[in-house]
Amino acid sequence: MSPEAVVASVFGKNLAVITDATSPETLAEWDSLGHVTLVIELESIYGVSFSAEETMALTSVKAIKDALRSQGVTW
Amino acid sequence: MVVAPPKLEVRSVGVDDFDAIYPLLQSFGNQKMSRGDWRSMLFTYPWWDGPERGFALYADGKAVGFLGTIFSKRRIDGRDEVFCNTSSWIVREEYRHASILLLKPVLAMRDCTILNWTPTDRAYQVFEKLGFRHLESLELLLPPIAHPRGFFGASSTSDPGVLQAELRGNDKALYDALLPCATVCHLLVRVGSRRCYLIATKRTYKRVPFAVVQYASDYDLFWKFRGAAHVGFALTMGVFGLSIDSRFAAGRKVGLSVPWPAKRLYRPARPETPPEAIDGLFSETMMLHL
Repeated sequence: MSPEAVVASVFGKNLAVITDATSPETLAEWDSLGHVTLVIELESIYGVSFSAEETMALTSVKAIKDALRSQGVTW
Repeated sequence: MVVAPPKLEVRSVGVDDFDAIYPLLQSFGNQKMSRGDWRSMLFTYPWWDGPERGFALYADGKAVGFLGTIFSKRRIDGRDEVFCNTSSWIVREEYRHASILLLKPVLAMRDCTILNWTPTDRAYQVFEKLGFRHLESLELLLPPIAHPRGFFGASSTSDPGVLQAELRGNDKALYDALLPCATVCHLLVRVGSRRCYLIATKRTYKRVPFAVVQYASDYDLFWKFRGAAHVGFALTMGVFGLSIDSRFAAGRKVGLSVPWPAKRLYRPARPETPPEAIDGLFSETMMLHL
């Protein structure tokens, strides 16, 4: 499952509208509580654990991909 | 110039941390809650000996977020169970995307039942996605209109001497545990040899004061003789009517009641624990002024 697909699923969006640039600024549903669900889903699906700083830095789909790659995750 | 991001850390907090956390609690803007009320509700409640009172998020050593954990031990189906009522989840605006850091240690507590008594609509959606179950959706506001049978042969008392003398077992333990809480009212309804011990707190609904029934030792007796409870609480607390979560009506048709939204969630430690087994005792509703 791609990070785009996770973001689309968590926020109930069509996969086609999710790009690397998708962020809390471009997606109204991605508020602080939405971020809670997103991080838990990402950790569950990819079997990773984000640090406090990484959690704060997951502010776009591109940032999510970078964080996952840094933990050796591929999709 | 490059500014280093703040160092974030989550730590469990205890009674001594209240002064650092209080400015965050003030952000709720609840004019009805004094500094002492917040302290009592989240930090110095008398029924839990453990040191933990919640988790705080620190940025470079300064508290920027908090999630309260009001613990209690209850007897459910003959077993002691630990309950954790989450309360007062707040994070400074600039750290909101770190809110999850406060939630993670709570979600990791798999051996206790977690309650979310007053979630916002948005928090309700999120907690549902995290596997929390529906506990309640409505309170029933009961105006002081009851069938005459609701009084006949029944009496009620809040006399501490009578309560001390007549309560037994679990009810006596609840009475003793909550005696230090000034916000709590105890009432005993007596019908012949039967007894119903009631515990209530006061809350206003559209400026009208009600007794919120947090616990009844015998719901069947309560519903049959709720008129006696009305009179008892009206005299003791100066309230107009009663309020009770709808799950305690257990399918009864409650006439002349006014439904009031009350979304509540829980994640039971044991999957078989039904909503009806969970009452409002030892939760934030015991001391939260809404």
